[in-house]
Amino acid sequence: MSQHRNKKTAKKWTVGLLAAAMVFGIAGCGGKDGNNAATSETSSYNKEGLPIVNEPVTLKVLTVRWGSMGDTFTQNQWMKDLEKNTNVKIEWQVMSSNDWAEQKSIMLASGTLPDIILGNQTFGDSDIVNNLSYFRPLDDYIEKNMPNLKAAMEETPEMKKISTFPDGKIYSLPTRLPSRPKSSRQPVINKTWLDKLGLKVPETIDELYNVLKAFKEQDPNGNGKKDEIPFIEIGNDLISPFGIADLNNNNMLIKDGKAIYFPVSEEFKEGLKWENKLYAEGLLDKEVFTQDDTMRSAKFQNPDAPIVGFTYQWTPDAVFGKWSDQYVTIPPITGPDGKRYTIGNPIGMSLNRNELLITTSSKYPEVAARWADQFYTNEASIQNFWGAIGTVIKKNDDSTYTLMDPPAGTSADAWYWDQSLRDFGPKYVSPSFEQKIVLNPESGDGLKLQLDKLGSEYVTEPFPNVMYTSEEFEELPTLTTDIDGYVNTMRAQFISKGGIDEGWEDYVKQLNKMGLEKLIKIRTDAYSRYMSVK
Amino acid sequence: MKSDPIQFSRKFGQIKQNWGLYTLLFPAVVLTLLFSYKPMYGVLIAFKDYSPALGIGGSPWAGFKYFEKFFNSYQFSATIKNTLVISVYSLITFPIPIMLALMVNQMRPNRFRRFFQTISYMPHFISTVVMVGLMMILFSPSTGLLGNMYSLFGKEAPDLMGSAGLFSSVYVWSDVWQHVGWDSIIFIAALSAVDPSLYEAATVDGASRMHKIRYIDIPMLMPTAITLLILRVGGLLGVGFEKVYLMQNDLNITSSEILSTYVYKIGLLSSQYSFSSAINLFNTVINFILLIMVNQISKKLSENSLW
Repeated sequence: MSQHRNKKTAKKWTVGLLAAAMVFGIAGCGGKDGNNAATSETSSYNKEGLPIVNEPVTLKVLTVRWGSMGDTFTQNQWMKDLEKNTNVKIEWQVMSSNDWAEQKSIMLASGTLPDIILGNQTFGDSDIVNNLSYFRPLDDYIEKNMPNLKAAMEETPEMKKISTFPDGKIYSLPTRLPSRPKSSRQPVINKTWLDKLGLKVPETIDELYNVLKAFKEQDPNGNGKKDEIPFIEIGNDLISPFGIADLNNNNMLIKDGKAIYFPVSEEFKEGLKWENKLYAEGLLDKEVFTQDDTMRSAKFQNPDAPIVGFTYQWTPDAVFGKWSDQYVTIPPITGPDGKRYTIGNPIGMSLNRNELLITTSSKYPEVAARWADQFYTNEASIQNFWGAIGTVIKKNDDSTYTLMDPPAGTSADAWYWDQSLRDFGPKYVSPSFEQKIVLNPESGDGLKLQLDKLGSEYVTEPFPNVMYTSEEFEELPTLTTDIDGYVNTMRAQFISKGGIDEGWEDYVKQLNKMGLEKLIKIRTDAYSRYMSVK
Repeated sequence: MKSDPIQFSRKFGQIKQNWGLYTLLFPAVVLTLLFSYKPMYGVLIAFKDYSPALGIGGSPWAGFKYFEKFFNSYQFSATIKNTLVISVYSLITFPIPIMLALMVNQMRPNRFRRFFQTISYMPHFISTVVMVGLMMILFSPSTGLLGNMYSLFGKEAPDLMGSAGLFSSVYVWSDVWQHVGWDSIIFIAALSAVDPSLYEAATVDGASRMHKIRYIDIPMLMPTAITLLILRVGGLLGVGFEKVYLMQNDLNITSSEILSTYVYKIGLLSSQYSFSSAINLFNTVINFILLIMVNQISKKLSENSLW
């Protein structure tokens, strides 16, 4: 799954647009005041049953897709049927994640919003909290117009918990995805190389060290050149054996029920020392801090011979191109404390919020709410996650569901993204319904669920996606830009140049000077608020 | 003051007479007003707690809060220092296009000269994104051209893109390579306008090639050079955003975080509009002061100035 996208690719594309964006952004700062209360309703609106309206109504729906995925998902048969059955016509505004960051700022600054915002990468918590007047509180609509969602929230109370804002209201709707694993990226190793050199699958970090060393020195790809790159790192993966597993990229950990900022922890320090050792001996990719996505994937799919030994991936099938059958996923590596840790979420990575917002500029909030409620049935959800029944999903006589094979030459994951809203948008699959979905364990989501078993019992509890108040959001961006930036810089220096023991004290001192205490306080306050929502 | 009716009608008559020229001017005036003057109103948000929902007028005043925040921030001295290092470094390379122009001017025959000129200004048309991509590939210590050249001699190439110390050099010299031909065009044009009789007279007096460059070419180039220099100084703190941002990574960030990239991260990516406007306004004011200062100095010293 394309959870991890290197920012640099996006960076390249966005820069070009930026100059223009700034000019228009400022020019557009006129500001409009949304007309909140007025809910002019069409006379043909039906409170129950279908169609939702007798006379067709058009709603504008904005959503963001990864990279250049485009809008093929709108051709999903379920979507087409929905339009026919409800009489609600949808005018899609499909944006690309590459330039969304700037587009978003401009859109918020201008105050011109469509009726519905769909998908959790469209507007984040801070966008919503800082612009509450643009969005309608949805509690009443859920109560009156959304029976499916209401039932879902009763069955799975976390749905309500994660989408309750600090002021106690619900502005954005949650989702529960089907068949999601507990672990995120897992260790992947070149099994062909291991067999050739007569090595075992590494269990501990010391064994891993020996394996990487052997990869480096014994020419496992057999081309006579020392072109092997034993390890390519993405994010903070390599120090996950030290207990640092940061699913949400916020540099926070939950340890014994307490939230801690790990870049100043002993574990992080030990992890850096280990990475520095690998880097110094050439076991870690030398260009880990300078390369972009394209350069990295060129290494994974090197045309003449495989050159990568070990890395962390969602599944090994897509990344390595024609070498993919050489790679296998292995159980997490045991750390120095004798325990294993995996990045992920022990309650499953199935719950998300901010999947659907109804704006105050929409003239038909009831219609929009009833339209959104159609997504919260089991069958609708699986069709929006994989593709329509008949195209992607096969409904069997024993009322189980299986997925069809993707067309030749397409990976399963890419095909699902092509056919459905996939990760984004409102969904609810009940845990009991999940049993009826039978997935092929050899590719895509079925494969991931299979691999998940290797790591799921070691998954650590991540610092959750907590909500911050608008006051906290005033401080937070500058604090995180400065502090996380400094942590990344020092991490890169410590790993590539060493000097960790000598430099550590100054590093912590500098972080404190930059307001680390304030950052930790904001984070822990928000965490205790999150835990207290019943 | 009351305007003289006769003078007024004469002025109006002038406009009437040249109405075609004024029509041509009109779109330019409108564009400048719309895109340069109207947005200036937005500068207000640097002094306000701006929230898009409230609009510029409706947001509460914050005074100099955001300026203080920036002056007290950890990034203040670092970004200013990096910006200055990069821009002063690029300023030092200012004479290079002049030297190139003098060289080209001496070239005979003409066909070779034109060929050379075309080649030298070609790289100017490479877009920044592609340029930085090229640099990343060429300078890669493991797979790039540079890395391969070093490994031929059994050595390991320096990581140019990942070095904080070398960042400004990589930035400035790649810029020189890319733009030197283009920047020299204006000087070549100025040289071709030199009256040939000057050279003839110099030849009669027995001047050598170096003498002609020294006593004819360089003095003739001075007005153009000074004007361009003043403009360059005016943009001293305004180092272009794109190239630096694209070249940034965790290893070189200590010397590659400049004002404009910081403003981008704070303002557009973290939606801190007021804070980033304050930083940008500060930047603009400094540039404006520098421009005026250099203009005054040059007026005193060389009688060349913008106004």
